[in-house]
Amino acid sequence: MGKRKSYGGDGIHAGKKQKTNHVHEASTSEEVYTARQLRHLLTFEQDLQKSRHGLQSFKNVLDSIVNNDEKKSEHMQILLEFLESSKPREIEDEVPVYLPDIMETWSMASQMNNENVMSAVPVVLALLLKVISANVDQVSYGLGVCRTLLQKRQQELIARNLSADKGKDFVISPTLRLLREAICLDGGALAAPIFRARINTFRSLARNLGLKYIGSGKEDPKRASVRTNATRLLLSCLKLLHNEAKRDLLLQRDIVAALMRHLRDDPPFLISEILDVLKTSVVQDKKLAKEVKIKILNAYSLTQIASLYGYSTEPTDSEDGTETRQLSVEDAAHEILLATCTDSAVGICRSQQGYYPEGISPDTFIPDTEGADRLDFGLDSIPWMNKFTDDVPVRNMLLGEFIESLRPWSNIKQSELLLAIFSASPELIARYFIHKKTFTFDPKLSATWIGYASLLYSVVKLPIPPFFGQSNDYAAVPPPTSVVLDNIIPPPMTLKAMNRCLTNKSKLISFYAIRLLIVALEKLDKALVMHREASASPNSIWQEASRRVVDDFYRRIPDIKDIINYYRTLTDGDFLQREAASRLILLYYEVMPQLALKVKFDVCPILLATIQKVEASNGAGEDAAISLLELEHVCAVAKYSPSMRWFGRAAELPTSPFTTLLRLYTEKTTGMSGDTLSQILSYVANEYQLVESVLQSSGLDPLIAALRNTGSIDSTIWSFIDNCAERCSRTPTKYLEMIEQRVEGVDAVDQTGKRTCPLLMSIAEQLPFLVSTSPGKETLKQLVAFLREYLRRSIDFGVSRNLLKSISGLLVTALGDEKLGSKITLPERTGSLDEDTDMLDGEPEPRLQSTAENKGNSVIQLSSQELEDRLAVPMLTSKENALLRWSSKPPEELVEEGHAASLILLLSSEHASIRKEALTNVLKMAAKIKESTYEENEQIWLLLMELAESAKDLIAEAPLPSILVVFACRALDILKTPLHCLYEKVNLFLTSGPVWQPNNIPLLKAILQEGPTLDGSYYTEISWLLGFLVDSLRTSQDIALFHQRKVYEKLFTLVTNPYMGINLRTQVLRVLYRTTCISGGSDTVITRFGALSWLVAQKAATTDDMEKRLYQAMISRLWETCDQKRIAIWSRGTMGKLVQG
Amino acid sequence: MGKITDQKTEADFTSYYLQQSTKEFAEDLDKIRNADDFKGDALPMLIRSLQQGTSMFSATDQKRIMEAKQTSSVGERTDSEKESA
Repeated sequence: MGKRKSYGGDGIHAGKKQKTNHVHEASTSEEVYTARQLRHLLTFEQDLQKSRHGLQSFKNVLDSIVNNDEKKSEHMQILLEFLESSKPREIEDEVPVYLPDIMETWSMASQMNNENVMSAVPVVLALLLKVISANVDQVSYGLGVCRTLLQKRQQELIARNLSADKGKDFVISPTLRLLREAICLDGGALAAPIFRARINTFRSLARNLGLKYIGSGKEDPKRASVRTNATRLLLSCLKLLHNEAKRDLLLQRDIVAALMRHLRDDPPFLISEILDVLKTSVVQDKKLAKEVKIKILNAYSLTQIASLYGYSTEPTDSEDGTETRQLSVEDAAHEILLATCTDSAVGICRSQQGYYPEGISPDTFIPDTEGADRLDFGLDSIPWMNKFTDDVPVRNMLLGEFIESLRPWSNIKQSELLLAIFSASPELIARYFIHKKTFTFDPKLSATWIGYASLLYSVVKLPIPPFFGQSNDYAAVPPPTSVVLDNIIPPPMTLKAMNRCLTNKSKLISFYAIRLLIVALEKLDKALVMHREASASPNSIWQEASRRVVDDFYRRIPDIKDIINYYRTLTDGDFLQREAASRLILLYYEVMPQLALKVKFDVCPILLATIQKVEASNGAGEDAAISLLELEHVCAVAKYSPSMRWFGRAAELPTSPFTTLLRLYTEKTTGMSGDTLSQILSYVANEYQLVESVLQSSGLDPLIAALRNTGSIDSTIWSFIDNCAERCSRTPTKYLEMIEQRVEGVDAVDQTGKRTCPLLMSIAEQLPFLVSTSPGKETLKQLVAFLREYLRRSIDFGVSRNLLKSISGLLVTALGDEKLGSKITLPERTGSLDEDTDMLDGEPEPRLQSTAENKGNSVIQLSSQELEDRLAVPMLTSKENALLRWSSKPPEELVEEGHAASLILLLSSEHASIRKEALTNVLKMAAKIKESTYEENEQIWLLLMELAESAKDLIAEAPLPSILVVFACRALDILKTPLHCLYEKVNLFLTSGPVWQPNNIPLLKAILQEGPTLDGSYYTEISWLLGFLVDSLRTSQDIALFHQRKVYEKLFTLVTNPYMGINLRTQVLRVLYRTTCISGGSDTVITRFGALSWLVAQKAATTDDMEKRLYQAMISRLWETCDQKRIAIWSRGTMGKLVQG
Repeated sequence: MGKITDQKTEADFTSYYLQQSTKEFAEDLDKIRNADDFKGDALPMLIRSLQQGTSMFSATDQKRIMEAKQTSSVGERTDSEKESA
């Protein structure tokens, strides 16, 4: 603290005594040379004028020390001597009184009402304590003085001084300073006793806190006002008092209120001090309970602190240059408000439950799983669900009230504070807007409206609290719909306001409205995802809530038609606006498809216009990139739109949207576009079955790569591609069938290529027509280059090489030009062809059928051919044209003559498109059979539907597991004969669940463990099962399933049954034989099921010679087909020995 | 390193977005600047509100747009170099 000028001149020039009682009368003084002189000067005198003279002289000494002037050391010496000599003697049972003469003088002055002396005494004492504070050796003396002050007589004197009239600040201020020095002495050693004596020591403090500076100009820190001194006293208490006392102090409501009341009028230095102490000693004091903090940091105080936003920041007083650049008042206020309002650990912000209003406990509601009552009423059965539309109770009531006083739309810091509070206590968001009725969003081109828009954008952007505000997991019941909505689309964003924004003539206003809707829809999407996460079942209350949120949300936002109309009004130069509007339209489709699709909207013209715009922009610059984004959004919308004609030709463009987009993508936007365009193109190509995609790689990739590599191509070729794509999209099945025939024509079992490409087929089919129009030579050259590239890329992609060869043959024929044709002819490399493709495919295909392999290794008794004759069972295959042929047959024939089974087998075709077609046809067939009069129509329908349901998800990526396909075929046979011994078991199986598990073997357990349904049919059932198992073994995946289900173990045990006949035993061997035909099968049964040892044991046990030979042949077969090296290592050679004998 | 480039892309994109906004809404922005309540924090608030829109663009999109700028500015630069020469 700076030096406070004395009221009585500086002493040096005050030579003569002036006998007057006038307050402004300067006091006399004399130069002090010795301690003795000082003692003499301070001796109690009846004449108060003399006393004042003495006190003033003492003050000069102290001032000199405090001000560090040239006489400091001399005066210090005098002071120390004086203190030493005036130390009271310690007398037992008597409380020592320090500086008794001065205290006596004070008392006398008080009695005589001599205000000059009443002021002079605390001035001197305050200075003395200040000097002592800086001098450790004298602290005990200082404490003595303070204790003396705490004696009853002195307390009363202090109280009298403090409660002097309002105008007597020269009496009040020094007393406040004295108390502050006393409190601060020795680190607050006596702060608590002084506070305890608050009846006197804090007398009139609240009033004194209100005695602010009233002079003109700014308050001089060196001539502090009563309020400043009182505030500093209070702040020292807050700093130094221990917890209990601090609590008591903060409970003094009048004092706390008085402190905050005039905050905004205080000088910057004082505000800084107040805020600093509030921060360090209240907010950051972790020991101080929240309830106590709230006493000082209540809504009123927070509002007072918030009123400091916009506090005029005039240059701070820097006369003495000591004022360092501190935080501006505004920054300091902001900092403390942030800490107070957002930090639940130290501030007053209390834990809350996010979107769940205060007072409700969403977990106490236990869903009634049995009762149908709840299903009937759903969300409405929760009493509080619809209660919070007009008000939302919150835990942080205080903050709720406080934030209403903020003006976040006109002040950035206030806006930051509000958003920080919202982030920390999301419960406040809904309440804020419900209470803030004056906040209307009606469009007006003003700074305030912009501020509103900005605030709303930020609020909507705020993340949804995890679990909607619950701590660890989703609650049983969702938060109230109205609260969720108010967070996603705050109440000021009314439908009326938003519509007015959209139709406003100001582009900026419409743009802001569009942006707001975008963020709102994005947030809605997140909320819906969370609802789905929380929902345990499809009919759960969360699902219902999510539907309600969507419905209510839809009611609050403009119709998609209005957005589309707005989008249509935009000009080509409105890049940002077009991008935003198209993004919004897309979001409508993505987030609320069921509602967006209700509106009829022909996206085609917009798509074409956008494509043309991007084409015109030459694909460079930010604007072009933004347009490209817009195009991506529009394309994605088109993807959703059922009325989109991807392959229809419009008058404006030479090719269909699909081909135009393809051209744009491959020619113009290379390097600039992301994945979106190619994803959309692939999606369309897949959807219309132009190509076949596998897992991550798109079937369109070869075409795209070929087009990119070929460079620019003639428009005739584009039209040709367009034409082929259009034909292919119309009749994909036709081309699929053509492929089937081609592939069969080339090679009955196409093992190398798994993928097909109907588009290529249609190109091959259409090429003769193009050639017949005799295009230019250059065009043909380009075409050949493109086709060559396309074929090459298709090989790389994994399209069946045989098919490609066949297609290239067709192409060559169509071209009718040997020279050109030679360029696209695939190299004839018989023998090395498979190798070549294997390399391209990266992995050798398992050899499924090795039955014909002649090892030439004749076994002891049975040759491998004999063994094959006895044990090999032909693979189930589908009839020709199974996809189409069935449709013309009556239902009876479908089942009886195996058309149905043929179709079902196609579900395990290697080609995804065939599988897809087959599934569609299975469904159609099911419907046909159900409607028919066929006797077993219900069961057959059920079987087919369950099959389709099980296959639906599985066939997209891989062929349907054999076990399901074969089971369906076999079950068909049973269903058509109700007298079959397994009729009941199959029906029980069908009615047990709608979906068949691909990792389960149907009826295995039912037959092996549950016993026969009809007496005496046990072995018939077993026989059926064995036949079923043999047919189900077709790939190594099937082996894996058998392994997993321990089928072999069960079969091997089965044979130990002595009543089992030779036929059944042979059937078991057939399963084993089929296993050896599949790659890896022998290894599995040898290493996992001890098949070799089992066979050896069986051979030893049997007495029949023929059977012995059969077992021996089987042993050899196993050994020949296994990985002998591996097995030898695995068994340390024992298996080899076992085989040999 | 990656972070710095990301930040730079973001800053560049923001600057482009603001520029483009002022181009598209020049007329409206003038009107706001002349509004009665355009005082105090109004200008930073206006800039902030315009800038908010950048948050709709993913980092990847921002990068794409900025990269497109670079490809086009190569041509521009050579033009301006010619002029200055």
